[in-house]
Amino acid sequence: MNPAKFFQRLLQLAPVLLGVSFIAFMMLAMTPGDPVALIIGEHAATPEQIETLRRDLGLNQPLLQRFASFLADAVTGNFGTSFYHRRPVAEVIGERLPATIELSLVALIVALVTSIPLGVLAAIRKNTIFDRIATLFSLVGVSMPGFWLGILLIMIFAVNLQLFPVAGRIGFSHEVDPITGFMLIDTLLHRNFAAFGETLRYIALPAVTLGLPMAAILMRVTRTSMLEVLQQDYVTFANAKGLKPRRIFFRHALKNALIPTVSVAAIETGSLLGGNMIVETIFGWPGLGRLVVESIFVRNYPLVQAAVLLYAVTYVLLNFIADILYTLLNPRVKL
Amino acid sequence: MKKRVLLEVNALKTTFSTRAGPVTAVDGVSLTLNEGECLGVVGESGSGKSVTFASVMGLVRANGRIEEGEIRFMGRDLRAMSAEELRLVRGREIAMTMQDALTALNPSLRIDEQLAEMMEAHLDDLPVFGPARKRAIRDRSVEMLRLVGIPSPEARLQQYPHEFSGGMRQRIMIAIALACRPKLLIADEPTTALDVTIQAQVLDLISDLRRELGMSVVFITHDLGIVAEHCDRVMVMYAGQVVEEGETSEIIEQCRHPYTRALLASIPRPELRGQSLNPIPGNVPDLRDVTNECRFRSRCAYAVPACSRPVMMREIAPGRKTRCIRDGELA
Repeated sequence: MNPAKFFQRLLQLAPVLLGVSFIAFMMLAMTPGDPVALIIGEHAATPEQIETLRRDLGLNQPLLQRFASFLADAVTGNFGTSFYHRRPVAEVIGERLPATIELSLVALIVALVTSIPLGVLAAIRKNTIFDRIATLFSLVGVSMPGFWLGILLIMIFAVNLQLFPVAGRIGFSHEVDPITGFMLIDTLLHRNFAAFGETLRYIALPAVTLGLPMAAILMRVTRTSMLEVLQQDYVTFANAKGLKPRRIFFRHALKNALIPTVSVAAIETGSLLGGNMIVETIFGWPGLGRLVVESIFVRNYPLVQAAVLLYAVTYVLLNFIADILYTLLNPRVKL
Repeated sequence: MKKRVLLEVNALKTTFSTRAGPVTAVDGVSLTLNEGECLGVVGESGSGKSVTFASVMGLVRANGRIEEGEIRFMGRDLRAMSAEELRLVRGREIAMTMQDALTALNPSLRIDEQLAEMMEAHLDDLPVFGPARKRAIRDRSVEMLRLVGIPSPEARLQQYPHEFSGGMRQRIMIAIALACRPKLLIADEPTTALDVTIQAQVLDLISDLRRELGMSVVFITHDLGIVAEHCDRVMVMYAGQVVEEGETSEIIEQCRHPYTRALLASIPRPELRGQSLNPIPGNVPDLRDVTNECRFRSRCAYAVPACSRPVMMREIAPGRKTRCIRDGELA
């Protein structure tokens, strides 16, 4: 892809982000509930105190003016102050972000390592009992709501079998100084392998809950495209050339079959973000999703606003990455 | 000079299991191919000509299997070979080109890799490893592209299939097929996907290479024109069976089967301009409900009641066979 096209694509981001910010802003403003009242509490506040706080938070200005100043600040990287934490929003989000990214990446890995082999096997053993079971698994995976699956996993594996902890990111017995904020990496950097194993146990259930629906979709995509590829003339020709079966399978069939899978995976990673809010809440995961849910409850406008913007940027970027990956894997397509 | 037999197929029967029941796509096909010889296999779609040679190469699709028959290549029984032994025959000794090079070449691999992997799989006279091996493979790749007439082969090796024209892609597929100097090339509908002007070039190329490399060629086609120009012998197939076989000139000038006659009559000719074409009435019978009678009977202009009895392939002269009871009257 040439640089001009690349920047053109980046520029297309601007209107999308503007639109998303505006909608999010208006929806928040129209949601009943007054952040000032929620901060001060129902009692023990004089009308003057309330008015002062309202002015401090900038809530006394007209709606559109508030949106304009939010935008002006956001462009410079200033997302305002969290009403609730009394600290810059960027700082609060920055603390929570690694936990969410870590969870999403592990969920993505879970999804990829289960879906690709299963999808390929289902295609190779089409219409066998294995294929049917895999199909059933993917149907269940797609249709099962995340909150229910999460609770189910907690009940079975945490409460009854006690194989995994119920909630949280790491037990109190382990003290890990943050370096990158990614617990799995930090524990390794400290060479604290016990804590690393502990972290894995904590992340397992939420990652499976988050990754399973995605695995189900990816499995279907992989199965379908593998079936299609195996019918292609170039696979027959590769056989006619007398190539080794391994090479035909990996280099000719799988490489082409994974093109759709990779694109869908990149786009679906964006939807992991939405799932995060539910999963993080269920598993008490100290990430951005839970922070946003809490912030909505207390009408913490600046934080929600910034988080929505961040989600939008991530989503659009992932789509962008999906396009780039598609081009890299498929030499016939030029962006 | 006595020619040695390269490929010998005896009473081959290949059946596919379908939802509507088993379908015998190839029903008792026998053939002999000598070294250096060019055989044309002619027939409509569904006549079993492609499946016959897919069976020879052990490339019948998953729902099909060879029921019976014998396939011998240079005296070796191919059906008795293990998958790995057969793999070493494919590409190395028997190579194949497919109808459409656009779909037969892998769209996401560069030409150099698609050529190199062929040599990697078979050639044992290459340096064992390192840059010398790479260079040897590259040199041979360049040589092969030059052989099939691709201009500036060094640069074009780096390209993907979609960056070539249809005729060039066909040439590349031929270059890949011939990279290990096979003894037999099976060219399945080599020109169907090409423009008329390119067709002749590709066919001439195959014929030239055949002489140059001393290999045998099987042209699978429905075009009797190709056969007339390039093949030593012809085998006409209909509904899974061979119906006529002989030297090309004999078949063209004195066919001894009504189906061959009808095929020849259906070729458009310039001197018959303005007249309507002569298609063969009806369709190829559904292979699921063929009976013992002559399979061409329902479409045959010469059919008589005796045609409802089984008709066997008969040798009417050395190397000349037909499956028609009225062949004498056709001559």
